[in-house]
Amino acid sequence: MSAPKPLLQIDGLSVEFSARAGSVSAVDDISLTLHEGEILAVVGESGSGKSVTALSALRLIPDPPGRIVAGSVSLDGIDLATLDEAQMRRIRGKEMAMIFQDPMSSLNPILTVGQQIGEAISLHQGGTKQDVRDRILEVLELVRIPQAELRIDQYPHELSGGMRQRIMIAMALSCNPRVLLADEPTTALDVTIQAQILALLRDLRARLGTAILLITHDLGVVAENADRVVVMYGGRKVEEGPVELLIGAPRHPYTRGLLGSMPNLDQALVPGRQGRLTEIQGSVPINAARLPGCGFAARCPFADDHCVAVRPPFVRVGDGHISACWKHDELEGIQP
Amino acid sequence: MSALLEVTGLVKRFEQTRSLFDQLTKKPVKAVQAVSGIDLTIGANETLGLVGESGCGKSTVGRCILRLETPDAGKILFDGQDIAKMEESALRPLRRRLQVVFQDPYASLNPRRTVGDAVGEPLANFTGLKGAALREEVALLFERVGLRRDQLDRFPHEFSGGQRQRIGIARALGPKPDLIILDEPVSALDVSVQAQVVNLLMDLQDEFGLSYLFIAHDLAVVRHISQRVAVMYLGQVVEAGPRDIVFAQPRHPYTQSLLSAAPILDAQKRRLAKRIILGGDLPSPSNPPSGCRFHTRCPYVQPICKTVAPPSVSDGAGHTANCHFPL
Ligand SMILES: Nc1ncnc2c1ncn2[C@@H]1O[C@H](COP(=O)(O)OP(=O)(O)OP(=O)(O)O)[C@@H](O)[C@H]1O
Ligand SMILES: Nc1ncnc2c1ncn2[C@@H]1O[C@H](COP(=O)(O)OP(=O)(O)OP(=O)(O)O)[C@@H](O)[C@H]1O
Ligand code: SF4
Ligand SMILES: [Mg+2]
Ligand SMILES: [Mg+2]
Repeated sequence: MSAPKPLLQIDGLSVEFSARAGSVSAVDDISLTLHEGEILAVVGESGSGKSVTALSALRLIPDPPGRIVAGSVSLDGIDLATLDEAQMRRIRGKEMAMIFQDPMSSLNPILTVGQQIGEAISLHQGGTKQDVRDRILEVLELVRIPQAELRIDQYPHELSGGMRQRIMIAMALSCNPRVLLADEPTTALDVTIQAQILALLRDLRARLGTAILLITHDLGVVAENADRVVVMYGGRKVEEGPVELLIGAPRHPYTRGLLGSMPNLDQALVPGRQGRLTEIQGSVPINAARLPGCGFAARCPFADDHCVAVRPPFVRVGDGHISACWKHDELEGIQP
Repeated sequence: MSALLEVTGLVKRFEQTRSLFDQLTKKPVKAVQAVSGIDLTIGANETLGLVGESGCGKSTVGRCILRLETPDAGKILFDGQDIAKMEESALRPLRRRLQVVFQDPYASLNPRRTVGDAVGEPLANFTGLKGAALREEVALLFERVGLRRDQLDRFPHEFSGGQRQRIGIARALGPKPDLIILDEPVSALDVSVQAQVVNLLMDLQDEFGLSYLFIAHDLAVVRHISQRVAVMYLGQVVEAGPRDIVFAQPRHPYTQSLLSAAPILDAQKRRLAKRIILGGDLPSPSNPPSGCRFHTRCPYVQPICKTVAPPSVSDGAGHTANCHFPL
């Protein structure tokens, strides 16, 4: 395998939000590299900074209250901080597009589906009105929207939740971006349509070498689609590795906890009775990234005083596999 | 024991918004039939899981039961009273007993009101509580769903997704309902927070004797929380029955394909899994396929499926499937 080309590089990114009670560290010292033709999954607790990381890459953090306080983002070796807003607009949608997490607040309620998708197409590709309409219908069919001819003239409130999500996907794919930031792209879809959308993304990657950052909380989706995985907790990266290792042999207790809370279709249940799920007790402390020790210590079954006092560095635990945990050895060989 | 909720023959259509030009030229109105005659029952203290393809009408069913939409036909018996066409004034006392939690905790909370006010509002409306008594009741609700009473005066953006979903649950719980419609309540949560919220829902159900209509896409979660399951396809229920039977021995080809498409974590199991890929034309809800609505994509389709609507086949123990050739 020839070395894949790094396309999007995030290096030491830190983002803060100002709040009444002082600033909140949303992302702290995150580094990740997305290669051409790669699917890199990002998983982690709600509020751990996944969306903020992706939004920072597009320079879409609302400022104020948000601010990138450290780090850099480069696309194809070009530092995006050196570009002005006009240059950035040419990159967004065409070079690097995002499927936003929340379709309802990202779609404009007073524009039809066709008007919203058409905007990006006319901006980046141009063409006659008919060309643009044809391309819109083409992407609507690509994302498996039935009756594209009817839907193109409808408004967001006339669509089901899953259709709105597919409209967001269609918008992001309309200009064949080289980098796709997909933030929870299939949460509102049933599993058969989800499978079709993910097959579509894999196909884009294979045909056009699209690099995909796949933010998702569905670990089954990660297992079936990603090449590599980054796990985030409390604004920091805690583990990173190839998908088989990360899911088959996780070396961070948080990753292990995540895998353990996943409901399973094969799990034996008492007939007629509900089945409880395994929780990670407690919740993420505010500003976990600013604690002197490990941000997960308060909830971690392996933690000791040292974990609370001193932050664990990244340690290489396998081929391309790193973990920020003092007890990474103890996790070796035990089944998740 | 009679059911708490009994829906029969429910129909809901939406007319397409037409441009002024289309209206003036009298172009025919295209209607989407979102729900085409479905039957559902939910017993007291029971969870019915509702699954199905995106756009098949699940949320519309929920909105009709809540009477946020008025059905075009059918009956909705809630505790024996038909609320399908009931006037708002007659409906009012029943509204307290029917509550809802939506998928999107962000969109369903007003960003400019404190979360304490958001939870207190329905409570004040339905119970007449005010002032310190209201505040105390809200504080107790907060504690019941795993939030702290000192968080009452904060705003929604100060909470994480899982916490916002707890706020939504506290809000629904306040008026002491009998039935809560949960429309994808955990879809936006990561798996560890999802586990906490699902366990909380099950505890509350035991404690207050609640009934749930649980709409979701994650089949494993539905399996954990439901006693019975209904599967919808294009506006119709195609299979329904006790959870253990539907998941172990699905009889409708659509249910079978749905179960086979669920992502699998374990690499070894994945290699052994038989996946059914649904090909064929996507059907249109404004012009549904003749005969069996699933026939354009069914791997077992026979000539009769294309012309004759399949009967409901029952095993006599509450498991039904609408198919000419049930599995
Ligand atoms: N506009 C904003 N104003 C203030 N704080 C914000 C804003 N956007 C994000 N944050 C904070 O930044 C942190 C990270 O949020 P982010 O949305 O990246 O989480 P996430 O990992 O995507 O979570 P989820 O899985 O729930 O989508 C959170 O603590 C959040 O409260
Ligand atoms: N207010 C409305 N106006 C017009 N059409 C509507 C409206 N609400 C729903 N529909 C249509 O009704 C059908 C069913 O939508 P519904 O939201 O009930 O689906 P769903 O099963 O909840 O899907 P999802 O899983 O994607 O949320 C869709 O074709 C949708 O476009
Ligand atoms: S009736 Fe026919 S088309 Fe419909 S599900 Fe059964 S076999 Fe398939
Ligand atoms: Mg997010
Ligand atoms: Mg819905």
